[in-house]
Amino acid sequence: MTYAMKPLSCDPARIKGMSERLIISHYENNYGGAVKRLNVIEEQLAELDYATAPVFVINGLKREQLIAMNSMILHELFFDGLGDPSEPGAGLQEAFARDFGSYERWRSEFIAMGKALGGGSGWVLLSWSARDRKLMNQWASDHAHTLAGGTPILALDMYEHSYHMDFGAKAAGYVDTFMAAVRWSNADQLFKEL
Amino acid sequence: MIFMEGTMRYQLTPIHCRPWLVAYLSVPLIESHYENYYGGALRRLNAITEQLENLDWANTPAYVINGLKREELIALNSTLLHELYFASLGGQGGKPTGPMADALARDFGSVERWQDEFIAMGNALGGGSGWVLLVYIPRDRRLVNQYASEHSQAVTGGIPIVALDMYEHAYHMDFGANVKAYVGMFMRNLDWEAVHARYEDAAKVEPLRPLVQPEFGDLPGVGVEEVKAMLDAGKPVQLIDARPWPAVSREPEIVQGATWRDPERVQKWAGELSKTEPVIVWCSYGFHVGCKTAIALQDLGFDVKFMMGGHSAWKAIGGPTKPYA
Repeated sequence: MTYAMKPLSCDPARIKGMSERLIISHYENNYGGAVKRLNVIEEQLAELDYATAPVFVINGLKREQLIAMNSMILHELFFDGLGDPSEPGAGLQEAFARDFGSYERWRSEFIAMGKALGGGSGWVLLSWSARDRKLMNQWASDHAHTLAGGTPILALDMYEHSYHMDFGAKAAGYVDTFMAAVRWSNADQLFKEL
Repeated sequence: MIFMEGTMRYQLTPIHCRPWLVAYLSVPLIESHYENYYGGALRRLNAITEQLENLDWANTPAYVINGLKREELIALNSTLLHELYFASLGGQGGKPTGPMADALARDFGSVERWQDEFIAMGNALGGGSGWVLLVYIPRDRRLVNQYASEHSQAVTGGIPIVALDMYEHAYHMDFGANVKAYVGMFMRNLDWEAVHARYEDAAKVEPLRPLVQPEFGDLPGVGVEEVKAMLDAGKPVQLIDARPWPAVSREPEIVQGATWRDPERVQKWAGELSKTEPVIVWCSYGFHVGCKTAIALQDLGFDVKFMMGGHSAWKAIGGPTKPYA
C-alpha cells in the first residue's frame, strides 16, 4: 500500500502571524518527508522475512514506521485545524465545560502545555478518550506518544520546525498565534463524528 | 559547568566559541541558541534543583519524584551538551591530524569513514530533536558515534568529545529544513584542536576495575570468547565443566564439547585427562569452585586455565550447549 500526501487544507498565505514560507516548508519537508519515509519503510517491511529477521531490525523498522505514520496523521490534523479564526461550536463548548470546568480553563491548560514544550519536540493534542467518554489534553514529546484508544481532534505541533523560522525561540508567541488561527469547524466536525 | 561556591546552584559557563568567527551560521542564531536554550536549560536546572532541595523525600508521591528527576536529567544533560556543542565550534574544520586522526582511523577504519557516519547520523535526525555525539568509551578504550533523540540519552560511562545539536532550534532560523547544509556548516567549523585535547583527557579515564581474586594468585584465566574461538578452530583442548552437582541438576545443560566432572572428587577423575593437551576448567560463575579445581589440576602437573565467568559467561555470549545426560 502506498500512502499519498493530502493536499494542504489551509491557505498558507492567509494564516495570520505565520509566514507562507514557514507553512510551505512545514508541509513539504516535514509532512511530505514523513509520507515519503513511511512509503520507503513500508516497502522494506513488505520484503522482510519476519521469521528470520533479527529482532533489532524488526524493532528498528517498526519504530520508524510508527514515528513516520503518526507524524503523517498528526500533521494532517494540524493543517486541517488551521486557518480560519473562530470559536468552538456549541457541542465542544459543552464538552469543555463538562470535562475541564470551562472553555477558558481548557484553553489555559492547552496553551500552557504548548509553551512548556518549547525548545524541543512534541505535540499537544486535544483527544477524546473513548473509555471515559471525555476529552483530555494529551502531552507528547515525540510523534509516537498517543493516548491509548484516544482520538485526537485538535493538534498543536510543538516541533521547532513549526515555528522557529518565524518565531525563533519565542515558542509562546507561536502558541498564541496558533490559538488565534484555529479553524474550529474541523474539531467540531470530528467531535460530532465520535 | 560548576557549582557556585557555597551553594547548590549551577553556574553559567561563558560561550566557548566566538560567534562572529563561526562561518555560515548567523550571530543572531548563535546568540538565541546560547541565551534561550543553553541559558534556559541552566535556569530550569537551578529551579528544579531548588525544588529538589526542599523536597520531603520520604513523603513525596512517586509521580512527583519521577517527574522532577526526569526534568532534572533533561535540563542537566541539555546544559552539559550545549556547553560541549559551543566548545565543538569555532575551529577551521577540515581533517584532524596526528593522534586524533589515528584514533578515528583505529575505531572507524578511516577518518573519512568516521566523517561519513557522523554526517549521515546528523542528516538522519533532521526534522526532530536529537544529538550526534562522538563519545570515548573507557570500557573498550575506543570512540563511537552516539545517537540521541533527546537530551537524556547517553552512553553509560561514555565521555562525549564532539556534540552536534540536531534540535531544530540549532538551525531552523538560518537553514530552514535544509539539514544537510547545517551539518555541513558544523563540520566546516569543527575545532579539531579542542576535540583532540578532550580526547587526550578522556583517554586517561580508566574502565571499571575488573574482578580481582587475590586468593587465587596468578592462576591463568581465559575469556569465554577465546575458548569459543579455540573450539571453532578445532584446537585440541580438554574442556571440563566443574560446576557443583546441584547446579548441573538444576540446569542439566553443558557446554558443547565439555565433560562434567565433580569438583569435589578431582583426584578421582584427574587421571583420565591427558597431560599433553591443555585443560580449561570452570564452574558456574568463575569464582572459588572452578579456581580451586584449576589449582588442584595445576598441582597435579596439568597445563590448566580457568574459564573466566564460568558456565554463565558461556551462555551469555550465546555459546553452544547440549543437554547433560
